[in-house]
Amino acid sequence: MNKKTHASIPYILGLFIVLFAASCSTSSLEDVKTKNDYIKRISSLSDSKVQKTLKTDIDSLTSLKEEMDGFNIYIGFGLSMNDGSGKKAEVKADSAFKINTNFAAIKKDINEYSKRLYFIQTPELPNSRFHVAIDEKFGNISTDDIDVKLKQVYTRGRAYPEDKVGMVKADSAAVDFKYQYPKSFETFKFDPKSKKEIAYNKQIIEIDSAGDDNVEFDAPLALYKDILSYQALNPSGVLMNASSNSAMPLTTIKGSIKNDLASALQILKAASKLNNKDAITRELNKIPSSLFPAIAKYHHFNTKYKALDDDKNLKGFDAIKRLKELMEEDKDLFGLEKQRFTLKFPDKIAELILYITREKETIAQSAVAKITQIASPYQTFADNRVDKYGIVDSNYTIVIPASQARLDRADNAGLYYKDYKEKQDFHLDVHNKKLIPIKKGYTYIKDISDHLTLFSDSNKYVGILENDDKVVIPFEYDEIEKTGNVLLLTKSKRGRKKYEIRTLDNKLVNDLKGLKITPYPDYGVLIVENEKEKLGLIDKNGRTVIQPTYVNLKPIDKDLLLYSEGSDSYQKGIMKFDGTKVTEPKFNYINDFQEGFAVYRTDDINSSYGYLNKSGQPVFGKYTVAYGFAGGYALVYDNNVFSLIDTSGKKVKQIPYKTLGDPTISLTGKSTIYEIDGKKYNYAGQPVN
Amino acid sequence: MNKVTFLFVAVFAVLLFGCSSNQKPQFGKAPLHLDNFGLNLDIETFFADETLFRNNEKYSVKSEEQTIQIDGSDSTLRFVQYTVSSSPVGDTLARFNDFYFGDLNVVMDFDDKETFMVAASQEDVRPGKIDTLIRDISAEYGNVIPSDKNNEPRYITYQWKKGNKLAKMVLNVENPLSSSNNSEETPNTNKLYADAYHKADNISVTFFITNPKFDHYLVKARSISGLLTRY
Repeated sequence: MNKKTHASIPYILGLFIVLFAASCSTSSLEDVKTKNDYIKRISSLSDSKVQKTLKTDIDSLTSLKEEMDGFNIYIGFGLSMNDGSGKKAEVKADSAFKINTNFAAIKKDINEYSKRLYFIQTPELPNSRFHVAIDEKFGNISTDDIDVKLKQVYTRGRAYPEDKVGMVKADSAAVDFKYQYPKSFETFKFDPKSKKEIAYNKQIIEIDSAGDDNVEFDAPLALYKDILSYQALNPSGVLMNASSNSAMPLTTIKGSIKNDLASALQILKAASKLNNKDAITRELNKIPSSLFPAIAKYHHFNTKYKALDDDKNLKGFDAIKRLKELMEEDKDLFGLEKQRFTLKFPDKIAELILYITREKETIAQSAVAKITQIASPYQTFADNRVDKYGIVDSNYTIVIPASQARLDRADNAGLYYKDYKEKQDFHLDVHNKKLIPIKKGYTYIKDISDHLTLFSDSNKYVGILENDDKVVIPFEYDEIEKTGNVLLLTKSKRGRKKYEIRTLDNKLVNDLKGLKITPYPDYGVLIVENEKEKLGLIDKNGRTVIQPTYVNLKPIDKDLLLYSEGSDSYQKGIMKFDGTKVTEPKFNYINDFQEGFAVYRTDDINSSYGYLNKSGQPVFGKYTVAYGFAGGYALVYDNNVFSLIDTSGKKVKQIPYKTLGDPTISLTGKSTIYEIDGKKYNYAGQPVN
Repeated sequence: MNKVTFLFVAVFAVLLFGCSSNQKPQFGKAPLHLDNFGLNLDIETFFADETLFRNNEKYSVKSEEQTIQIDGSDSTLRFVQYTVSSSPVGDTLARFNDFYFGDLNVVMDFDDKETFMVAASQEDVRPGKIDTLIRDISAEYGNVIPSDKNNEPRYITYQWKKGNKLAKMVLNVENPLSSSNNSEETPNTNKLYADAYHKADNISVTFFITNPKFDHYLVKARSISGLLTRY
């Protein structure tokens, strides 16, 4: 897909339900529910009637077989992408499909995957659920395509099969996993308009529709798994990627049922050639017993589908939902044997190209993976045997037995829960092991303190309840945030926001009339802005300690601010939270303090960067570029060399590069990674993978 | 009818008449009447329904606090701009006699006491409707007064003044004066304008009623938003 087609993506949501089901045919065989009934029925007939009945049954089953063979249900959504101009842009050639032939890199990634694979345990009864988790992406493999099988789980060395683990908290698992990747591929070209069916290695591709620039075709699942990609050639031979594409499973009648039907037909035909009734019934006994209930179920499904189809009030997603419910009720009937591709190209299709795996390799390995759990003191668990939810503690000991139809944890501490369906919140009384319903209409938002909790009411206004009961802050605010030791409350009237600061027991501390507010929760302070765009500071107790007079004002440490005064926003200095100036405004740039030092910049052309200590004094040297401290070291660039300096300014390590470019840095203490010239280094300059 | 009943009916009728004649406009109940508009909207009553501002499905209503700062001076004016559009229901929000508008802006002072401006607009208007609207506005405000010489080429503008009220109507029609060599007002301006909008398609009409103070700030404002940009 060329970049131009990405530029704007108008979505066209198409919804298709296609059901090919001919009107139901009935016959004696299709009317009976079991094989025994059918044999009894045939046995009771006179010889002349037996042959006539067998002929009728053969006709009936032949018709049913055709019906079932043609049966498919397809629910798909079309996603269309074009350049939005309405004009057909000149088609530019896309590059030809290729596979990753760096097989060594694929194997290396699989090895890495096996080391980093872990599972997350979800407590459930009768047995916990485990799902694969991995935090990283690998460049050479698609982790979604790895087939992982959990063999056993362990708790402190004791092994449990997955179906016997119950709610034991597991720590590791033995797993087998498989990854299959193509080593070579074939290019299969055809004109989709030329035929209705095209064979590839004895597998039939059915063309459902072929327009000028679009094609819809069905591929058997076995072939689908090997189709790596697709492109098309326009009449001028320009190679095109699809501008929209989807591959959706096609639901068909299960292969085993169709096989049973086919073999029943053969048996009936064989029986019809016999003259002796005993021989006929012996032959008919070979019909698979499972066919009769399957036919009954099929007719039952068709009746329900017809009712759905006739219901004109049921449309769109509701119709799909109902259809899915019907299919779920009779799920034994259905199987997935084909995949439907719907492709659209930017220009006319002269030839469609399928890239199909020729040789593939499978890597199969075993590994021991970690198992982790959600780190919450309390959480929900499902008892699937009774389809109810309860609460367990961090050791998976049951605190509240499974008794709720729905229950979702609402806070990190696991003390509040929601039943979204019933719109009912609960508080977990840990001491008495009780789930206490919160007053109806209130929705838990978050804890403010041990006994104060923020809720919203049915009108979406927020307020604070003490011990989930007594109203401390009335429900008339849009937002309430704890900032420092006080509350910042946001109220609106006719959409105009007004801020005020109140104590936790609702005493007004500061009426911030006419001011805009920016909270800095990490520092517990607020920056206020007046109508003249001048900034001031409100401290953690809600008092205005710096009047709005500064053009720049921003916390850069727990008690320090960057400021600019007058009308000169370019020159910056440092002041304390109480307004005492630490430095004059003489720096072009001051970053937040990191590990006691803040990077600053001056007007010097070559050596403009340096570090300030918390007294605002420049310390140890100036550099062409400097970055913040992390894990006791900081990266600097000076005299064409990247170096790490320690907190005394001493250069402790040089980092080499061939091509100079901006380093990629994520400063997160000792987890910091520097990426320089494509190579990664940790906080101390050690190379990492 | 005995005397007591007659008295009760009479008192009731007086009360009813009193209530209806003094009723303050309220958004959503009826379109805001811009004809004989006193530029004294009681915003507390007009937007009394607070749910309008809280995810209302029928109307899109928002308020913005803004400041106009005049270039090269410390002179500032703070105001509140209420922007309303009725999509997707397509209700009419304001009217001048029989001319209906689908979008409405109300501009109040920062304390929500003084009405600085109402602005209303309507898309896809037929020229005949504009003829009538100009005639109706002129009937209330007097003759059209000449517009500024520096006409915006993409619009034609009509202005009226009555006492302390200014009315302005802006049409998105290419200004015939800006394409001629002489951009001065001529005695034929109104005819040229009328000829221009009679030939135009998809005309949008934006109508403003304001006071001289807000007009003074608005024409010198560095940045404005909503319908005010067409002023």
